[in-house]
Amino acid sequence: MSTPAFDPGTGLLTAPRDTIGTLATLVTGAGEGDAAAVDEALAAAGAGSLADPHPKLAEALLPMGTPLIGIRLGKTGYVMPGWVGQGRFTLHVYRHGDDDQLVTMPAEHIVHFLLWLLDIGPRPRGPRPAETRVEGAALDRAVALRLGDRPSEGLLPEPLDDAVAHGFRDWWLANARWTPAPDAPGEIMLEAIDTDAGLWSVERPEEGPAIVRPVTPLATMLALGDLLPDNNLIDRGAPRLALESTPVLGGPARWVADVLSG
Amino acid sequence: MAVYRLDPLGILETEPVVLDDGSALHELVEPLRAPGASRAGLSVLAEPVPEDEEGRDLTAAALAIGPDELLIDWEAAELAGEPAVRTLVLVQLGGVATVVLEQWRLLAAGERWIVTATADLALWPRLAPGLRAAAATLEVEA
Repeated sequence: MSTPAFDPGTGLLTAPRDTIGTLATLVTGAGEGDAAAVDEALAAAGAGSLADPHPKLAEALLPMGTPLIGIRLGKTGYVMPGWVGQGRFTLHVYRHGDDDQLVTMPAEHIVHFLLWLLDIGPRPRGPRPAETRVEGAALDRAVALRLGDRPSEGLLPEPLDDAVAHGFRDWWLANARWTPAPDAPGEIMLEAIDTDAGLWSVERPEEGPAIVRPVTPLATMLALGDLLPDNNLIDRGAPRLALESTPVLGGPARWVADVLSG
Repeated sequence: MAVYRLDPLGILETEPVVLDDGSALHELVEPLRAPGASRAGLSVLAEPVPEDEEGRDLTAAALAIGPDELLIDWEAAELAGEPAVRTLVLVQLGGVATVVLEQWRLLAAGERWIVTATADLALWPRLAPGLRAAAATLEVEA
């Protein structure tokens, strides 16, 4: 297991998953945890303590304690929790388990960061069908198999099947929740499959098959910008996002784990 | 020396401001301006065409981005009746904000041109169509 580390210039904390998870549990107010163990890890990293964090760590903890927006970011089969509040964005980045990271930045940087993290960039512009309807379970299975580097041919309609089976790059999901102003939506969900043939958005209606559409990197960039809703969509009277809507812990996406363990 | 013309379409200042790098920035007209980290508008820069082949490679120049920049997309395009390379780049401005640059690079009238539409990311969806439309009116002549 690696030693916890802290960068006082950026506020980046590197620590075991359980340590950051307990830190998140305590700071968000979601529950109890071994505060002494967290303090021990923070001290070892030179990041202070829960009661008296290093000023840069304190910046990272601000949105966790009073989140206005809760973020769930799914990537490569894992879902990671994030928080936006007090003008900052903090994300628990899942890496190998013993070197997870708590990353913080000004909230305005969230799109730039996510575009980098999700490796969004130029993609081919070849013709693709405007939309493909496919059973959600089949789509999940194909994506999960590819995330496990297993073959997936024949599960999906062409040309989506070929793109996923032979040019799969990644799957990701970005969800943001906030306390909505009256008559405003309180959530946005973006899901995409990234392939060598291009990016595909996934819409999952409450009923019926999933709808898969080609999307450009530009459209993806603009959609990620919607994760920070306009001020008029948020109930400014709410002191923070309700605890039950606040993300705390991440983990493997169950539908991925189920397919890969089967 | 080459000159350019563009139709400000009522959204850009007719008279440009000359920036430190020599580019001419047509800012948004006053009623359309909003607080932001960048000066939203359309800039035009004309430079001598490099003599070496590498320097004339518009695609290579377009795809060479800085450490705080992300290349979102690029494509072959056309502007002012000439082949051009269009790029979309996201720039982190000194820890302050995120700015979008949509740029066209072309060789015309004996010079190398860089036309840049700029706005803060938050304003981009609203401003981009107008800035692109204004860029499309560019004409250059020797």
